[in-house]
Amino acid sequence: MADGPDGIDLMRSRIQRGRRTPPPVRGPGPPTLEATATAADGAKVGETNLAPQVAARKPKTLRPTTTTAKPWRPEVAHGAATANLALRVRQPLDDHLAEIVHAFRREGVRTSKVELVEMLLWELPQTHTQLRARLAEFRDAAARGGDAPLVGSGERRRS
Amino acid sequence: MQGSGRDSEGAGEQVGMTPLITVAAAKGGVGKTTLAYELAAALDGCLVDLDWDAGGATRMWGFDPASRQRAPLLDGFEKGPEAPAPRPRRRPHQPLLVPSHPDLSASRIDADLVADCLVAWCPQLSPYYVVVDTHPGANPLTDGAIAAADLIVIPAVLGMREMTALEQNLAELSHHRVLVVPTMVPSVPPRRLVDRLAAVAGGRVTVAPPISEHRWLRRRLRRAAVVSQPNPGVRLQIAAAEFRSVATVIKEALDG
Repeated sequence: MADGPDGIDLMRSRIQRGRRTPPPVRGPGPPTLEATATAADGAKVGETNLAPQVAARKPKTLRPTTTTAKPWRPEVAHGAATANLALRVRQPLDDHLAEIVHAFRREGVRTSKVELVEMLLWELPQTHTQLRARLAEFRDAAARGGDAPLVGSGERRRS
Repeated sequence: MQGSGRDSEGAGEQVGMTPLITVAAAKGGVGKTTLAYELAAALDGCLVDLDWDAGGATRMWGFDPASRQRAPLLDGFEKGPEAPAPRPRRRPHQPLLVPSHPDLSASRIDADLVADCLVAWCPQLSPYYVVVDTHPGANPLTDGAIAAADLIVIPAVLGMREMTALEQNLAELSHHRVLVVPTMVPSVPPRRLVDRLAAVAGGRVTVAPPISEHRWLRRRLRRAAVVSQPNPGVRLQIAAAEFRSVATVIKEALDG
């Protein structure tokens, strides 16, 4: 019919263009866990990227507890019933959670906000003393405006 | 509908004849109306709207047939090919238009009459090109427009069902001059479907340069054709260049 460019060839050239591998990332690279360190626990996270950390992840060691009793964690079976917490959290924490999910996804690890929240709940400190300390630390960093004293009656009695 | 009388006589290629381009497809929603509208504008031609749906080129142009007492296209078909052609409407930056009318859906006009009328009207409507937009599927109006056409333009979306429909469409139009225009093509088209389109075309049918997926086109409020809008932005220029390259292929096909 016409001697102009064939549509099939043009579309195939688009496919070829789409196949190009992206250039290597310059500078510090993708978002790291460093950036995701929460103000809440204030702990320094290693300077390595997320990828090596994910690759070299080891089984979690339990936090040292003051008691000698066997650490207890809730059992979360696959088919366990779910509960709707209907949480409203502050925007930066939600953004932070989204960053983590996307950083993992770039590394090929699929997770979700719900899974991360469940994980945090699952690994809450074993003892009330530790939990209270964490809560105090969190309130210092990100107070919600609640003025309820953290020092329990037991500690008051001790002091 | 087998090969048209006009094709077999080569009338469309005679000097002084206005070529008739019919935009048709078995499936709806493949971009017929947009393609016909832009081609008519790019070719400085006249758009004859045979699609009676409210979402057709007539409303897109800005003409509301429901608010008019007369239906010029329907009247023209009823008077026959000897009567003068309906007078096309004219607006700046928009193609000349012979508007459609909802009553066309209920009309019992014969396909041969449609073909005869269109062939007779072509020189009166435009000295350059006449582009016909059709209703999807088989109906007498579309069949008549196909029979009268010098070139049938089939928009093709890269989808599984669309390819099956196109395959059947091309088999039915094996005696006609056909140009397939891939529409709504993503920036990286799916290889499997491009290969299938190549197989369906089979070297017998020309595949025009693709029209990319311009999602903003559906949301566009301006009635000016993309190819003739004054002060176009970057994305409008890109879309206009694609429509113009299809128009160039059509010109080469009909002139050469």
